[in-house]
Amino acid sequence: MDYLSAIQSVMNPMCLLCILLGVAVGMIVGTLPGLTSVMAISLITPLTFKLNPTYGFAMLLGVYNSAIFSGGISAIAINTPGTPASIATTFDGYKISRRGRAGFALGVNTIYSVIGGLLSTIALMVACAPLARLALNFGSPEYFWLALFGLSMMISVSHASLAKGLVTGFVGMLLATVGLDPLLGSKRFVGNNISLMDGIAFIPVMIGLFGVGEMLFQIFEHKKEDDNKKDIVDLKDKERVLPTKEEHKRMTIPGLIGSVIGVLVGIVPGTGGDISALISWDVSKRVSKHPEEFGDGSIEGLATTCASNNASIGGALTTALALGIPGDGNTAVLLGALTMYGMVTGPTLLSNSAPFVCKLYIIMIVANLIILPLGLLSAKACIKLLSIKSQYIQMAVLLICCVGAYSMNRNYTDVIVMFIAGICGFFFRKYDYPLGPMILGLLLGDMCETNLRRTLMLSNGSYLQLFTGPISIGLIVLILLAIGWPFISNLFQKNKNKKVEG
Amino acid sequence: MLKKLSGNTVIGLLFIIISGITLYIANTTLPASAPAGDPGSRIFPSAICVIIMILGVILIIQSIRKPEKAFAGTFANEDSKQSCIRAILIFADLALFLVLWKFVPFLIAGMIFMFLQCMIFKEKLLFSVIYSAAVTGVLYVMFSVFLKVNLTIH
Repeated sequence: MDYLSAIQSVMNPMCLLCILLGVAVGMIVGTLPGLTSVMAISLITPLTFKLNPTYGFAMLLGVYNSAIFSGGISAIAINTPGTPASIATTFDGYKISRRGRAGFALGVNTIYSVIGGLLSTIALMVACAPLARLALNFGSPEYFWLALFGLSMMISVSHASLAKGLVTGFVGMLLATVGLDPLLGSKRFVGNNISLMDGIAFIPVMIGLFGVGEMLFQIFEHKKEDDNKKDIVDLKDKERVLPTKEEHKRMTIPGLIGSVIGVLVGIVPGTGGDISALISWDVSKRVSKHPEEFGDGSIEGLATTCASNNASIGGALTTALALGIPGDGNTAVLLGALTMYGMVTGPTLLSNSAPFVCKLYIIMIVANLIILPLGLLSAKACIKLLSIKSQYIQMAVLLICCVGAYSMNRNYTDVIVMFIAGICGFFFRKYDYPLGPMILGLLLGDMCETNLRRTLMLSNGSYLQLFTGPISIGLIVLILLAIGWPFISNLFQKNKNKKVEG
Repeated sequence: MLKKLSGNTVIGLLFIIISGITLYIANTTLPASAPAGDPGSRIFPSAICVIIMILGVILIIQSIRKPEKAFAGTFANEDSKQSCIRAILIFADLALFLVLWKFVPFLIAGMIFMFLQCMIFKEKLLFSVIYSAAVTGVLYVMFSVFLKVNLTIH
């Protein structure tokens, strides 16, 4: 019954228009290298606060799905991924387009992204409710471990340097302590600024880090990036875009592999479409009858990566909606937006706002169905976008960032927060400090502190209370695995390398 | 001195200094007393500050052990010097805009900000005027007219 009324609400012209607008914005942002889906969602979020939450989320989910899919357009056309999720798409996509089949590659990108997106939405609909039901049994000790589990992902997302990842993560946690004390209500690091009583607003920080910081970095690195644009592939007017039956047959299994891996990887907090697509490409190569073609224009390689990065969306949303833990930067902003709409994120979201969550599922399906015709029809126009000078975009984005940060609460302090976050974002980007851990820290720091202190208050200061109960033990095991896994896999890799050398 | 420092050393130092100041503020302004069992509102931020300071030291040691381009190396060649100057100018323009926005209407502050950016990027004068007016105008209409967000800061 919930689904029926959800379908009715989403099929309303205004909602469909919001999805369509979101998809269109996502296509533009995703196609242009340097503009990420996180940045687009952060910038669009303040715009949506004037709409009702369903319409607002319709637009945001449209941007999210579409930006991840269209990141593949520039990967195919100029060998530069539009978003990090499309890194693996360059392996085969660009080679196919160099052979004069750019239209076909873009067609595969659209079709298999939609397949991945739809399959992951089904997984989201199936897995979200049971996971949230399990989480409803959580008390404050379990919530503390859950937050710590999310925070432990700081390690897995700190690819370049563990110390750099951890330091940004802890800075995020420190920022989360600004405002009123969650239990005592006393002021912390607020000074005389009343605007900071509710804590540092999440969206301006995201706009600063991913918008201003990224734009300043691109301006700083303003080298000969426009050289890439000389290599933009041409789409022939009558080129075949749709794959044949035979080609579909070859791509079905890799597409499914990509979708399953995408969902599973997406569920793990801190990961995302980039990692899932790389794993899918590797697995599909191992099971393929033509592994030699991978990396040299394989249609299977292209299909699996396109399906995988979009499938990670459903996985990431499962963790975000059921547990309140962000799967990636995009879901972190979406969770922030939900909070701004006045909703309580976490396991209670599904019981308190079940009709809204049902609408989200339907929006996901509709957004993917809109991407299919729009993606197939507008590929040529999107490629034209790549010839726009990057500085025109950078200049406009900087102004949009300021207006976006201000319009959320009409608060000048938010603009200053955005400006400071922008400076930090620039230096973090310049010196390879990952931003993922900072988002995790900012979102989960408060949850971690509140539940630790609440547990201690209830147990009169006994830390033993944290280690009772099967769910707590299960979560502790998961945390240990999450912390130890990078080291264990490193050890395995070293042993493997030794054997190969031997 | 600047010639010997690497970017990561400077950032590591900044982390130590900022978290040190925060730790001092936490210990002097936040209440030490709390209800039974609760470690208090001071303990969490203080612990995080100490961890950041330790990580800052690790970052400095890492940057010293692993030689990298010195901080001053950013200005090593003409190209990087130019892009660095451009980034600093854009940054200054952004700061100017934020100050201006407090005193003049958004349309004027926004247009000045965009126009100065165009000048920094050495765009043609006519294009700069049209582009600045167009971008600022579109944003104004979108936020102020359609979304009813008052873009005037008082």
